[in-house]
Amino acid sequence: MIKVKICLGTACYILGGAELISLKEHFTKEELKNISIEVETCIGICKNENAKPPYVFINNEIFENAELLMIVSEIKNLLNNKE
Amino acid sequence: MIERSKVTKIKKSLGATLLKLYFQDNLIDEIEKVPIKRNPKNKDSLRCCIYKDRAMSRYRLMALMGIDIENEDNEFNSLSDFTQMALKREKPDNDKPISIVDMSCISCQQHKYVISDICKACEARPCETNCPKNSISILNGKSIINYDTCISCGKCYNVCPYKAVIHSPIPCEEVCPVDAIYRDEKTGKEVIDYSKCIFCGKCIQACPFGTIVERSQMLYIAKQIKTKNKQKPIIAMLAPSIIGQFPGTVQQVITALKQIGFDYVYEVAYGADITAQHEAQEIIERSNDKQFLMGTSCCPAYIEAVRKHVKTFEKYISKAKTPMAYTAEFAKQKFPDCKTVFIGPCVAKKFEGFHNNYVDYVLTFEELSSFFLAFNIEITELKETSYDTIQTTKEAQHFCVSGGVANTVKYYSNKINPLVKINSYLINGLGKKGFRELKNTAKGKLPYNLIECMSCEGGCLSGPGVNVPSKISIRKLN
Repeated sequence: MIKVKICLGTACYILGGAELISLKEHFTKEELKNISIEVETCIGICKNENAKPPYVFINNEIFENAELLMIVSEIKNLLNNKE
Repeated sequence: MIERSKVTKIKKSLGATLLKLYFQDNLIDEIEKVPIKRNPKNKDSLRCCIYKDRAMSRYRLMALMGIDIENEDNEFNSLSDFTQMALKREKPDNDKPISIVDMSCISCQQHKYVISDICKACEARPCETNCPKNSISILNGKSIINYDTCISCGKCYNVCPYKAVIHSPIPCEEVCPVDAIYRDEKTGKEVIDYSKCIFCGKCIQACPFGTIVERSQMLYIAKQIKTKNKQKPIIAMLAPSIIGQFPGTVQQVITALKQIGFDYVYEVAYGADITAQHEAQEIIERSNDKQFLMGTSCCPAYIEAVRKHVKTFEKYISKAKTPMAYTAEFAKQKFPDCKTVFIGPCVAKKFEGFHNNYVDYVLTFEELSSFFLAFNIEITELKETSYDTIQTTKEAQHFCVSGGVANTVKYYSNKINPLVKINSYLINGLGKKGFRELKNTAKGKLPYNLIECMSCEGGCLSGPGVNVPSKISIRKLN
């Protein structure tokens, strides 16, 4: 199971993260069986001075400056490697 | 419009820095350091060098403080000089919401069509045979364009079998529907002709260097918030397009606004209901005339387009005021000494607001983001508060999408007199195509009697000051 956590705190949402809401739509029903997507409110990382929101976690790995398409391809890679 | 542009991200966080310093009472002392802190020595530069990045930060800060860069820039002034100048002001000193930072205008590719190294100077030479101006010749095994005679028609681009001709438009000029932005021959930089500009903001969205900047009113509003007293409440008026612009619900955003320091939050859909009622009444009155036609009145960029470019349509525009105007009027009647702040997705509203006595300030969602970031507000953790205005109709809440205004006018006219048949025509976006449609409808010969025109394609949800792509926000609306 691939665990995805999307931060949708104010900073992440405002600075480009809003689009991540639609993450699910980029996967097939089959693929979604192996992915769990959770939405979190602020995890606090963005409060640092050099923070680069939006943040996404995939299996506990942090992705900063997360862009929708980059996250999609990251997850697809993980899915393919599994098989 | 550039999808996922980094420019807006940079502007939002710069705005947050500015506001944070202001509310900590050390803006004048610290502002000089901001461009340096944001572009430190060891950081990769976005432009040619960090010094140019720093200069750009400086100009962005000036625009965020509302300085008119084209007319007020003086390189001898420090940023804190400009800050003092801005803090002395209560409101913008002129109605121009846009400025060009000429230092950042990199003078895009000078010619629209360029022949690349892919060219093999083939035997067929369709570029040469199809050029209407005989501008193409062959030199050193490659086609070249004689730009003295080239008219940028694009024929060579279309016919080259190798795709060796590159089309490189100037993004701001390409999107301007009224040719108000052009290259100054002497400096090679872009200039706006304000006698033509309709303030739609398309050039702001299009420039990949963020060279065209909005003059923000955020500092004036911050000053009002900091120095407010009970007798003079500050009222936020939220445009219908607020939906989806921030995380959480709109009711949580209302709480967030109150935490920043707004005393009341009004729903502009309240004014939208009034606008639509007036327009419905008016179209019914006009229907006595056999060939009646009415244009909607709420999009300020389209109104400017009519005033400056399609004079013949002016008589068709409804006399109804805009939702912002009615909402502000209501606020001032209730609290004569209040300060009204319209918050929406629109640049042209800054122009409209400047000329409306009831509207004190106009802020975009993008600029409001800077407030939330500066105050560290976690919107999704807040409780919900309702609007301080009465319940509005679902129809009025859809004013922010193409078709939404026409639909609300129909809804009300049907209530007043169901016998009047309304056929609406939607001009969805005043691009070059929409502009032609507007000119066409002005002839008054089409089988429509209600023309709804919105400058932004899709409606206000795709405005230049939105936070999120319209495909996300429109989902939340429906």
